[in-house]
Amino acid sequence: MDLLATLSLPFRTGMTHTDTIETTLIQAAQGGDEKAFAELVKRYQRPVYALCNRYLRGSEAEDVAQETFVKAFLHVREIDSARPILPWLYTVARNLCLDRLRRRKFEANVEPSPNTASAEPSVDDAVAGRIDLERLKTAFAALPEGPREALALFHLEGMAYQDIATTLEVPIGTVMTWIFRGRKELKKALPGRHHEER
Amino acid sequence: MSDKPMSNTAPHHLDEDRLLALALGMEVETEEDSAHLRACLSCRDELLQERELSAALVMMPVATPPPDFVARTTERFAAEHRARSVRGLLLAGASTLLVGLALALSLAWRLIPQLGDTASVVSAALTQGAALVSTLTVLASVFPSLAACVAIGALLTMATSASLLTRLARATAK
Repeated sequence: MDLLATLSLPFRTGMTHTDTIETTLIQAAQGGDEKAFAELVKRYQRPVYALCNRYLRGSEAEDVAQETFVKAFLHVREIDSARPILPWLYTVARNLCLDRLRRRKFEANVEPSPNTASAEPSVDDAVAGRIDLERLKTAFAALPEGPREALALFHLEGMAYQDIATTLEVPIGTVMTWIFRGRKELKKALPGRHHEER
Repeated sequence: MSDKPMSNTAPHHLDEDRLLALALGMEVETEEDSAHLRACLSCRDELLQERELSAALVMMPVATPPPDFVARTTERFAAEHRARSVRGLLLAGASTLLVGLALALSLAWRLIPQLGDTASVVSAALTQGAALVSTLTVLASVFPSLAACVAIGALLTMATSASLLTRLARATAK
C-alpha cells in the first residue's frame, strides 16, 4: 500500500463535542465515583500522557498526567459540554507542565522522555528506509515549544487548527505559522535534500 | 532544493503554502496544479518531501502510558476526594460550632446584663469567626489552590481583626 497516498487525512474535521455519556461520567466523577473517573482516564490517558512526555521526563511526566486528570475532573465544577473535552484536557496538562518547568527553572526544550523508548511505532518500511526517524525525533524535540506542540497535535493527534489554537491559547494564524515553520525546520532532517529557499 | 529550468506549461512555482495544503490534503489538487507538477521537477520534489515528512511525523514514536496508569490515577483521585470531603466536614463543623457559641453568648448577654460589653465583643468575635470559616469553606470548594485560599483568608482575617479591635477599643472607652 502506498503510504504517501493515504496522507490526505480526511479525519481532520475538528474534535467531537462532549457527548451525553461523557457529561454523565464527568458529573459522576465530580461526585467521587471512581468507576466513572477510571473510564474517563481510560479514554484520554494516551494523548494526555504523550503530551506530558513532550514537556517532562519519565516519572515527572506521569505525575503531571495523573494530576491533570485529578484536577480536571475533581476541582472543576462545571465543564462546558458544548466544547470538546480533549483540547481542554490538553490545556490543563500543558499549563501544569509549564508550571512545573517554571518552578524548576528548566528550559522548555527538554530531552525526550526515556519512556519513548518503550513506545511501539508503526513503521512503514518504504518511508522509514528513506527517513531517519531518530534524527527526525531529535530535530522535533529541539523545536521551540509552540511549533513542536502545534505539529504534535496536528500530526500525532489529528487535531484541527481551531482546536490546536484553543488548546495552546493562541490565534489560529499563530498555529498555522508554527506548523509551517516547524515543518521547514524538520525538513532539514530529511535525507538527500539541499533545502534551498524557493 | 535545486532550481530546475521551467517549461512553458509551468511558468511559476507553486508557493509553499499551496504545496503544504496539497501535501496535507487540506486542499484539492486542481488541473492547473497537476499540469504544473507534471512539468516542474522542483515543485514535484518539494511536494514529495512534504508528504514524506507528514508520513515520518505520523510514524514518530509516541510515549505510551504504563499499564497501571489508570489504576494509579484512580487511587490518587480517590485519596484526593476523601481528603476534600474530610476538609469540608471539618470546616463545616468548625463553622457550626462557632455560630452556636456566638448565638449562646449573644443570648447570655441579653439574659445576663451584668456580662456587659465583654460578652458583646466575644459574641461579635465568634460571629465574625464563623463568617470567616464559612467563607473559607466556600472559597476552598471554588478555588482549590491553597495559596489563593491563604491569601484571601489572610485578608479576611485582617479585616475581622481590625473590626474587633475597633469594637474592643469602644468597649474599653466606655
